[in-house]
This record gives sequence, C-alpha cells and structure tokens, in this order.
Amino acid sequence: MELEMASQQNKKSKYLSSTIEKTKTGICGFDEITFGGLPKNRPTLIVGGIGTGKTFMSMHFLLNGVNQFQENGVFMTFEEKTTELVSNFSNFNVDIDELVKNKKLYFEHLHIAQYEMHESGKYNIDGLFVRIEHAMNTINAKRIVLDSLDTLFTNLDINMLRNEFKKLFFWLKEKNITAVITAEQGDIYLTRLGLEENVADCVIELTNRVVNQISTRRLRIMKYRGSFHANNEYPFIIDNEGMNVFPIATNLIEYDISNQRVSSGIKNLDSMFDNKGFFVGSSVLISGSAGTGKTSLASFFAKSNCEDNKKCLFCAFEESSKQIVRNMKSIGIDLEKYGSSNKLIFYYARPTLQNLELHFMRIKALIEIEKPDVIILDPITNLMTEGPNSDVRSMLTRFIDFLKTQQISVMFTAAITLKSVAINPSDEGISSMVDTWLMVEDIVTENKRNRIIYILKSRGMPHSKDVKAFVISNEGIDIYELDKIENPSKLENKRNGAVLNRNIK
Amino acid sequence: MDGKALFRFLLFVSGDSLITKKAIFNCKKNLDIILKSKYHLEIINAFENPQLLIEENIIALPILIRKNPLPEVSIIGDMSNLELFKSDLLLT
Repeated sequence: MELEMASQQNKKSKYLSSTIEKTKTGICGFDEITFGGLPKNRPTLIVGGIGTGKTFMSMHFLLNGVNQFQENGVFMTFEEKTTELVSNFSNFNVDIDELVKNKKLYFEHLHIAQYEMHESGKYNIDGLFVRIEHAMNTINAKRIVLDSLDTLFTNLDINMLRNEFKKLFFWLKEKNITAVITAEQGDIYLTRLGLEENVADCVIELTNRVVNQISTRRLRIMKYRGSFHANNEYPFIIDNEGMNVFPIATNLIEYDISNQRVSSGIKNLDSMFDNKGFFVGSSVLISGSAGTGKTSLASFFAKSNCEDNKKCLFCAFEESSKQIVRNMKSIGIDLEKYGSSNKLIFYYARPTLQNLELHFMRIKALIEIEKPDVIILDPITNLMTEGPNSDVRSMLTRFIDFLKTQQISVMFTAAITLKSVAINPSDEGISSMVDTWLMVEDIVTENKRNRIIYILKSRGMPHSKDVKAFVISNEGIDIYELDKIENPSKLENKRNGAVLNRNIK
Repeated sequence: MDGKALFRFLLFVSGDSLITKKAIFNCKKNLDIILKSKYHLEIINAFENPQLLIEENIIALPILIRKNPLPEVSIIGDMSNLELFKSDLLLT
C-alpha cells in the first residue's frame, strides 16, 4: 500500500515538474533549492524587511539573465532613482551603463509625489501598465523587476490598490514575462498589502537576523505553486561577487564514495588504520586540549599530500600562515617549500572578522578556483565563537557535504575533549558528522607530560583500539606502543581513567 | 491669481473606458464653470503615448495636470466633485 502511494507520488512529481517551466536565476545555490529557478512567465514575490537584499537579489536576477541566458531585463524602481541604483551596483564587475546602451537592460524610475496630487473620484493605475508594457517592448524583455510595490502603496488608496495589484499580477502572467516583485514585510500580513501572496506563484522570504552581534542573511521559499522546493531557511551572503545561497547538498546519497586511501603522513598512525590511512574524501577530526599537537598532526597530513603531488588548502583560524610555517619548521616540516610550488595554499582569517557563512563561502570559492585534494581547517572550535553552536553545526554539515561531493578529504582540528563534551553535549554533534575521530591527550606522570593518541571511531575500516604514545620532537612525530614510555603502569592507570570517563558519559 | 494668464491643462486618460468618458465630461464641465472658455485643454490617450507618461511620471489615471500658470498641480480621479476640483487645482 505504501509502495503504491509512493509510486503515485512519484508520478505526481514527474507530472508536476514537467508542467512547470522554470527560469534560471543564475544565483549560486538558489537554482538548486528551487530545482531550476523561478516559475517561468509568472510573477514571483520577494518579501523582506529593510536591508535584507531584496533589491540586490532582483538585480542579480536581471544581470544574470543578460549575461548568462541572453534574456533582456526591465527594472522598474519605485524607490531609488535609476542613477543611484546603477551606482550601487557599480562594483559588481558589470558595466550596467553599457548594457543599458546596448538595449539589454532598461531602467525606469516611477515615483508618486502625493503632496502635489489630489484624488477626486475613481481612478486606476493604468499608467503603470502602459509604462511597464512600453518598457518591455523597448528591449524585448523576458525578465522584469518591480522594486518595490509598497512605495506605491504608501501614496495611494489601499482598497483601490489591492484590486489593481491583482489585476497587475494577472496581466503580467498574460505578458509571458518572468516577473520579480519585491515588497516589504508587513506587521499583520506577510506583506503590508496582505494580498499579493494569493496572486504570486512563488513567494520568497528574505531575513537578516542578528544573533550574538553577528548578522546572518537567510532565504526561505514560502510557496511555490506546482513545484517541489526545499523548505528550509538557507543562509546566503552578498558580496561583490554577487549573491550566494548555501544549500545543503540535495543529492546527498548520489555522490560517489571512494575506496581509495590517503596516508595520514605518519607511518605509525597509518598502521592504526589498517596500514592504509584515511579514505579519500572522508572527514577526519583531530580533537584534544590545547598543546596536544593537533596542528602538528594536520601539518604532517598536509606535507604528505603535497609530496604526493596533491594540492592542499590550509585554512587557519588561529595562527597566521607565517606563524604556522615557522612553528612547523621546528618539527622538521618546511611548509614554505610547498607554498612556493603552489602545492599548499593558505587561507587565514580571524573568525570574528565576518560571519560564519562568509568564511565558508570564501573557502568554497577558493576551492572552486584552486581545486585542492585536501583541506585542513585549524581549528574548527574557533569558529564556534561565531554565533550559536547549532549554526556552526548546520554550516559545517553543509560544508562537509559539499566537500564530499567534490571528493575532497577534510581534516579539522578541534579543542574538544571528553570532558568538554560532558559539559557541552552539543560539541559531540560536530564529531558525529565526521568519519574518523582521533583523540590526542596530555597525561601527566610523575614529572613529565606525555601525549597519547587513540582512535575514537573510524567508519568503514578496521582500526586499532590501542592507546598509543605520541611524541613530537624536532625530527617530527612518532607514534609507538605505550610500554616504551617510562612508568607505563601509571600511565595505564590514567588511561583507564579516561576510558572510564567516556563510558560513564 | 493672474486672470490674464492662459490656463493650460493636460488630461491623461486610459483608452475609451467608462471612467475616461466620465473624466472628460466632468473635466470640461468643471473648467467651463470655473474658467468659462479661458483655458486650453489637451486630452491625451495614455495607451498611445507611453513616452509622455514617463516624462510626466504618471501612474494613476485619469489625471489632470495644470501646466500653466505655475505651480504645476494635478488631480486624479473622475473629477466628479466640483468643490474638490476647484480647491485642488488652486482655481478658487
């Protein structure tokens, strides 16, 4: 029975997706969450508060139309003067004036100065229709933006306008043009007009929330007639490259899984993983308290990949790249060498510099340019000062998903210890996303601190359950059996304590 | 107000609708009452003159604009109310 229903739904979805034609926006990520873009030849409403990016998104839609899809666009602005609008987008890598000159784009500013106009009896907004049609015909437009309707609304009679807008939406449908209409968020209704959502085929909500003093832009598709769409709120960023929506990879199951292995860069560590190391395209977490050698382990991983002629992207959130290079020299790794041969690329940014989305977007952009085989995030815990942890986790999940689709192996370090997980259980959420979790610990014996390393989990491969000694010297990292350390019995006791702790938790 | 100055008006209407007919009728009637024949009225069909709509920045129709004498004032609607017509167009 269930199967039957499923197949019916399948049929239905096929039917629906075939009837709705879509117009690609070219906005990175947006076409994925809408499964193809905006409804073609129908009006779409973008709703949002002040400064949420309504104008930007609609302008982006038009510019992409011209640049990528050979579709001319009309921008009717009720708010800003066209000159202001164009200058706002001057750092957008596009010569808007040139496009206007070549009749690819058309701008028109409509404003109503109520103080110099009086009402007497019935009227309509046919003038708007005439001007829209004129604009469309001038450049043979396939896309149109009306930004924003509310401005008109504040000046004219409410009831009259409601009817007129209904008329407008239906009229636009007849004109075979893909329209984007923006409107400000209302108090009672979704929009101040409280009506357009009934007439628009697709409604998109943009928000800009500030949490812990860091603002995050989010996008949600509230409605999409006759089409499936993703329901979640997606973070997006706006920078001089344009607008970027960061979706969770929608086809998670479909990406290829590799059986190939990649060495950790340390022979004895590989031996703990069935002598082969990690899976290519998997995610590895190295966690441990401060000074346990997380960055050193990551650097060895970077080094071994560079020597295998692979490209590595090292994202440092704590130390600057120069500092890492200097520090790693002390344990016998010359990262500079790989840097100059362009095998190793550094991305360094203070976590507080910008919001989390921006970091990931920047890294993602860098990945698309440099196409690394391996990426290191050091340390991921520093990003957690940014915004609430749930945000970090969902961003990280999406980021890991993205890396998996690209078959990029990722190693990140985190200052998570078993104790900190006990205090802050949300930390464990991060570790549940990784395929391999390595723990490094500091253990104090009578007069010396000793490092130990063990594998907490490693999906899909036989791995050692041993706790091993872990030594960093100026010759590098070595890992060997615990009993080679002096005072093994005491250390063993400590270790049992640690394992016991974990079991209790 | 300078009575000698020629009053010049533009009336924008949308096609041949009922509201257009009403507006033209009321407009002429009101102007005749207030200004007798000392005015010039030009009726423009918006559908045929989109360029003029852009120049005058018109959205709502019908609209009557007093071009001369300045200041420029306008009134939208079918202009059925004579008193409003008078005061809004500064013809009192």
